[in-house]
Amino acid sequence: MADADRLKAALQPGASLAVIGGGYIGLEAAASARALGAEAIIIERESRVLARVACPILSEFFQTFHRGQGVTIEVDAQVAALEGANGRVGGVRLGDGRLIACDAALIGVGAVANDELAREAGLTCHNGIAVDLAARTDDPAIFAIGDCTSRPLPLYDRLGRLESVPNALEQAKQAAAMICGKPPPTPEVPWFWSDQYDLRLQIAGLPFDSTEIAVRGDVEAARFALFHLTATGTVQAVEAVNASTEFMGGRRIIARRKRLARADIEDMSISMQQLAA
Amino acid sequence: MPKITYIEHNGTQHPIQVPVGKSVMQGAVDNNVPGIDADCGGECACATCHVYIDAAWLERIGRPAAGSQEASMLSFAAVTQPDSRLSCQLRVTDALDGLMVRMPEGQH
Repeated sequence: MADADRLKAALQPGASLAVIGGGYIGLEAAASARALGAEAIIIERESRVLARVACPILSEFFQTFHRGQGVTIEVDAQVAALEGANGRVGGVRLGDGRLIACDAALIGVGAVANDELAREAGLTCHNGIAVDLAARTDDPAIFAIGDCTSRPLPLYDRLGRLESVPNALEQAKQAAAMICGKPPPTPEVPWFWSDQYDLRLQIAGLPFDSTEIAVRGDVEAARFALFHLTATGTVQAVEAVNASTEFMGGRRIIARRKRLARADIEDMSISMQQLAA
Repeated sequence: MPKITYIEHNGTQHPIQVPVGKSVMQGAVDNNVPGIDADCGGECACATCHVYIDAAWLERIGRPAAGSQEASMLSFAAVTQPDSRLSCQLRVTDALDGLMVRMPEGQH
């Protein structure tokens, strides 16, 4: 909380925030900076923002939108050093030698699971503390939940480590149910949301095996949804911007492992109710 | 302070005093009333604070605004009915004193 308070205090009109990392944290911080009248420069190592968590179409949309709001985005940019004086940062030195001046810097470059305690206890860890669908580790008396866990993803027949509020909540319910001897919670399609400016991004599912993307709605108008289809037309994930009906319908479609034709998804005369039926 | 009565699916009633300005959702969560999950904390992003408005109050409360975030989220919420609302979008005022809401069988 103290860091958040310091950050907010630094975001005054005319101040400049350097954001290291173009993930959700970075984009949300840049949007907040702009709302508070401050400048924001995003410094991203990969060739596009959200490289690890979104498809290229979504990355392109957010880059364009942020730049339209006055945010500077540097991609393919390495950070060589933070520079400053008297304990205050004054700039970010890039790998190509340029200095990005700033009044504050926020580093949001991803998370690593804190599995030290679990490892010391002899529990299996692999990209996170290994747990089952009741959030139990190798030791049935020890539970682990949240961003630090590697959990089964039944819809996708694989294990995964999910960094999201909904996942942490679902696992909390799984653990509580097991501990209290109650029925397990209804399994959820993994989902996530991010608010930036007047944009609400909602994502359902994970596009592990996606070979095709159907675009429903109007990207230019910032009201659209991207449906990720496997080679057999199964909908694995939906990325929706200001399209909550598509998000909610998409979640149901994913849960039912429905197959849809790209042309039908892109046809706005076919309602989400019809697609999800 | 306005009184809101939350009625569980099994019929159990919870009359709760909720301060003006809080959402109907927050009144339930603050008082451990079962049946409202509010997974997203009131951001209208999860549709798990879903309630049915008691018939006597439905006209006064109304339906969610057409094209609103709430309307979109409700379109696929679990077990929606014509009297469905998302309780995080209902702000308590003195005029809502005596409001009764019913929780659905499940929020997921």
